[in-house]
Amino acid sequence: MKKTRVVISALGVVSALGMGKEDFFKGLIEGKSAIKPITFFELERSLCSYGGEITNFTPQDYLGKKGLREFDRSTRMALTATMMAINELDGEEFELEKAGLTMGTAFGSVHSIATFDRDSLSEGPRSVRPLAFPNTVINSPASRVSIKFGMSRFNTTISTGFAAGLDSFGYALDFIRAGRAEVVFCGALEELSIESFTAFSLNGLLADDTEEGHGMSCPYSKASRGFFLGEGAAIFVLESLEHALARGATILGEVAGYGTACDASFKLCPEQEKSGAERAVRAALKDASLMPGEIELIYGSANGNPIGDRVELRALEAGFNEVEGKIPLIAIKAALGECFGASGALQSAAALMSLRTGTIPPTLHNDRERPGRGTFLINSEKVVGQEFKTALINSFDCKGASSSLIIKRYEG
Amino acid sequence: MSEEVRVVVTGTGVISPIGEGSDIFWEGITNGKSGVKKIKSFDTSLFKSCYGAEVSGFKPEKYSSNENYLQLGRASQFSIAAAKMAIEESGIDSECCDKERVGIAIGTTMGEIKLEEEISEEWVANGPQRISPKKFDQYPCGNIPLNMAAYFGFWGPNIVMPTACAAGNYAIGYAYDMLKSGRADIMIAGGVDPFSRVAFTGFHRILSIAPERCMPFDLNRKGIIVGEGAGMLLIETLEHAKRRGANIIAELAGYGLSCDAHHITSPHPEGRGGVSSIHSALNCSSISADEVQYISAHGTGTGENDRVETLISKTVFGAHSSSIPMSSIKSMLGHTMGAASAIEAIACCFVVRDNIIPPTINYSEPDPQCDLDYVPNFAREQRVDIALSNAFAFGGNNASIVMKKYQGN
Repeated sequence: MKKTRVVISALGVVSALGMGKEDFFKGLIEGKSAIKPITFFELERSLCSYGGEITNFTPQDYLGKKGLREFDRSTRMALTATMMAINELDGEEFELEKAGLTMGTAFGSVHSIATFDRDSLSEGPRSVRPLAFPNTVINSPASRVSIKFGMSRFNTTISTGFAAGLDSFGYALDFIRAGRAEVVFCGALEELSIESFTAFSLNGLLADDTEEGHGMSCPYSKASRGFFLGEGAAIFVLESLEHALARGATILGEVAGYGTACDASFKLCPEQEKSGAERAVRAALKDASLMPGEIELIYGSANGNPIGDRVELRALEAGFNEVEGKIPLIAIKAALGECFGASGALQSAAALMSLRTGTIPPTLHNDRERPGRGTFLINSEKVVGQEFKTALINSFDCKGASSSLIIKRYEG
Repeated sequence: MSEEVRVVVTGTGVISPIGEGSDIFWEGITNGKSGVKKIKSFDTSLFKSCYGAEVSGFKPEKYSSNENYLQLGRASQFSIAAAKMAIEESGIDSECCDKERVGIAIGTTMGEIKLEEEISEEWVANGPQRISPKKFDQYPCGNIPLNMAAYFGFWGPNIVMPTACAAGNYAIGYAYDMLKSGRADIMIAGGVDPFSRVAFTGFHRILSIAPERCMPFDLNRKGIIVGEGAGMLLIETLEHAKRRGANIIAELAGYGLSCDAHHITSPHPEGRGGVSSIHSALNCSSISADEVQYISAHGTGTGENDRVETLISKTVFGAHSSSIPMSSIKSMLGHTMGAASAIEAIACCFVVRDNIIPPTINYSEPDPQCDLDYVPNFAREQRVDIALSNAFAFGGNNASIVMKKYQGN
């Protein structure tokens, strides 16, 4: 049975490199890094103090000044990205009521949850603000987006760690193919918080910012010591091709396929046995009816955690072992930091821009142009004037959740 | 999606405030047993209410001596225990199935909230510096289905949907889709929530907690009773079940979702979202409204939910609504949050299997605005072939599922 084709008709991006997809991509292309000292919360001296913070975030510029007070950082990012996407929509208008919404986030409003609890402990349960309570459920940002804009077909929040963003796409793709909705606002968000910072710092996973070259996140590189945290949101409008054509919408790209797999284990698995990433890639290729050789770009999951980066490289080499030539492999987490649930969506946003402009951004701080067996090429400089038709995007969680997405140029 | 693929339930597992195990649970609720008592897991002296539905005496070592399991958070332990029971009941031989085609879908509201509570207690007392990194590591709810995958070795699609009080139905719906689309052969689907001081504090602060009892649809209802638990269903395609000679408990006929897009805590006053999710579920199941013979209500016991839920039933079922029994087992279990709709789905499986309808207990004074048949206080023997189960969550996230009697070939 032929699968319904699913296309992208709008995209909103909130990122530390720029607001909106053009500024976001421009920041990446120009080799800018979002990793800098954190300003919006105070950190203990012994904790890493660098991250990909969105500074000067002014949601009121997009949402107006009123009614924002009870919305936490996560919610403001989600609302802003959605507003941008809605503003971009063209063609004949459709009722937002008929659209569904799916949002990926690994932690949700963790800061809201934790401060609510800390306040109840230190001030007593009767002193917490009632209006703070709704922010303590992880589906709150997604719900607030629906309340503001009206999407009523369905509203789902997905939290499978790093893979949450791409899983949001997978969910939306399946719903449109099943005929449950013709339009889905599909995206992901993740906020920086003192809680997540503390968590990753105490777990020794963050790159040390006291060494020479501090603030350097080096995915795929030998010099890699760890990663930095980032934040952001991206919301795509996905439609069935039929619906988009019928209303004369501009089509930005096509979502060709999705795959997911798991290899969670209590045993300290030798890296060679972690098969989830490879299976996710193969499943995505199968879903898209594509051969590995037809992938022209890969936006990788690597964030500078040496183990995670190696697992991805191994999976990609296995999946592409019959392909000759050098496929560009790009790690935007070098510039943005690890944005967890939002990463997959931000990588997909960059991939879409690459397909539309024939440009790929540099992977910052890289010391190995051809890692592993040399199937992939990591560019330290931007590449322009090319033509790319298909991109693979990966989100591989060290805990065992792996998902992959394939986006194509729309050519009719 | 294949039209021919049918989806069935072959195993269930319940951890609940009235007992652990599906049979104990079912016997309890059909006898009107309440799991509500004074809260023991934290000091309630600063709160106006002190009643909750805790799972008392849960001993993880009863389910497994696996070292890794014993160190997991309560949500993961509940989930694995309930899943284990479901797997045992289904007779699945985990050595013989293709483990890459067995997936896990979980719904939860607060996830491993007890870890967050421990972290916050230490943070407030001594600052964050010496908090165990492992607690931070295990807290995010994505860990729950991954811990289940690690324990059982099931490496198919793995997902968690924290869609508040409707989360269980979301997970069940996702599992249904995975089987229909062929992405998996078997899915373990359900919901979990450990007792949450955060949730209790929040509901207490917005004046939604009942002082002593949960009284859905009663004139004097005063709100919810916070509970905890887990419900897991083992779901597979009919073909797969028949091929291995499984005992089929019920058929999962379909599901539907919708969003109120109205208010973050209150339902739409006319229940437009609930009406929509029910229609969507009936449509997906190819069932007409007049075929529904029992409704498992969301029935939280708040003024607004129960009033609007009654209105939703009348809107969807018209005159027929007064003859469809609709009961809320939250009257007995309290509101187990993410676990609620999963446990209610399991109850519906047994309703269609045994033709017995569980009651709404604590019902004594009818509310003129809630004038349907809520099966007051005592279970009822009545033939039920089609059961509808609704969940209407915070943020207007609605999910409805349909369970059908499985009649064999």
